[in-house]
Amino acid sequence: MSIVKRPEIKNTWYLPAILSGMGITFKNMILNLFGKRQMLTLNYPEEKYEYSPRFKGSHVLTVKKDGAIRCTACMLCATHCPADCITILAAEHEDPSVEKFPISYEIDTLRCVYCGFCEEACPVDAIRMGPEWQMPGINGANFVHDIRALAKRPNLKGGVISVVDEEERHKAGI
Amino acid sequence: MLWLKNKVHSSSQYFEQNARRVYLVSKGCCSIELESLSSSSYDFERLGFSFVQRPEKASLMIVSGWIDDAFADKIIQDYACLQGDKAVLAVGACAISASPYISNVNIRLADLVPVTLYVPGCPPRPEDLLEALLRVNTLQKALTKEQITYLGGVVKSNG
Repeated sequence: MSIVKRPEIKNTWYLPAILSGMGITFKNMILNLFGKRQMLTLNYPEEKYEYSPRFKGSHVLTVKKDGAIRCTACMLCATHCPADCITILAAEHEDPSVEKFPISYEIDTLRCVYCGFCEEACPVDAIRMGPEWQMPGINGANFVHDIRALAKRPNLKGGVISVVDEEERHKAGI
Repeated sequence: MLWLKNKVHSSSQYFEQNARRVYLVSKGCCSIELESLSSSSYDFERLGFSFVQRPEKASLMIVSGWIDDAFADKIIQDYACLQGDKAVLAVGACAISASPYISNVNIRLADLVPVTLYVPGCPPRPEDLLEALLRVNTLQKALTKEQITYLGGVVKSNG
């Protein structure tokens, strides 16, 4: 068996196929120029995608109503972290009812894989994955984020209050 | 005629001042995000960048994925082959910190070649990579100025 291609006008002439292909291209170009169809390309520095609230971005330490961070230094997130990027230094609190609190809470963002296990492990809703993605930086920039960067960076506008505190506030009727 | 030729040359220089040819050395899951830079949704050719297949034609190298002993020699060779203002992007946790997991036999990229920009994430978003590409040129200019002043100091102290 052999396939025989008969010489027809359709097969010998390549111009009709090219013209039909270019027709589709120019039709899309003109439609996109006058904005009749939504463009697929993201014009990055001007436009940005809006992500859903469960997007796993850079970390946020939630704060109490008085401004102190909620973390109780139980070390569950540091133990559960697969990349070992969380280092916590705990200390005794002045208040005898509070067991301990973290002096320093540091996350090495160069090692972090943004898996969200710290958020899952936390029993008091003290750490969350925020909505903003990690920004690139030059070699030698500070990538180890401390409490001030995690809880009180300017994007958060004074800190994120936890869901638990919100419920208490609703019960009190404020 | 010569005036027109010079005009075309200067205007092409103006439009290509931020343009770079990008050589991609990618392993692992970051390579999927890096390939999507040239797709229609994150079109980075409108900013002047384009992928080339050989390091001799490129001035920017993007490295992602885990680097072992056999792969390290190739990266050093490729860096030596780059043209013009050399710049290297380290993309992802593997290339930056020798894979995030503690029990590893990998090598950090910064131990092999001078890295210009770190892009953290596992893997980083394509917007993150676009942001890094937009920052590379300005950072490279600042770095070369510093390096020139530094080298001048060394020459003076020697001579």
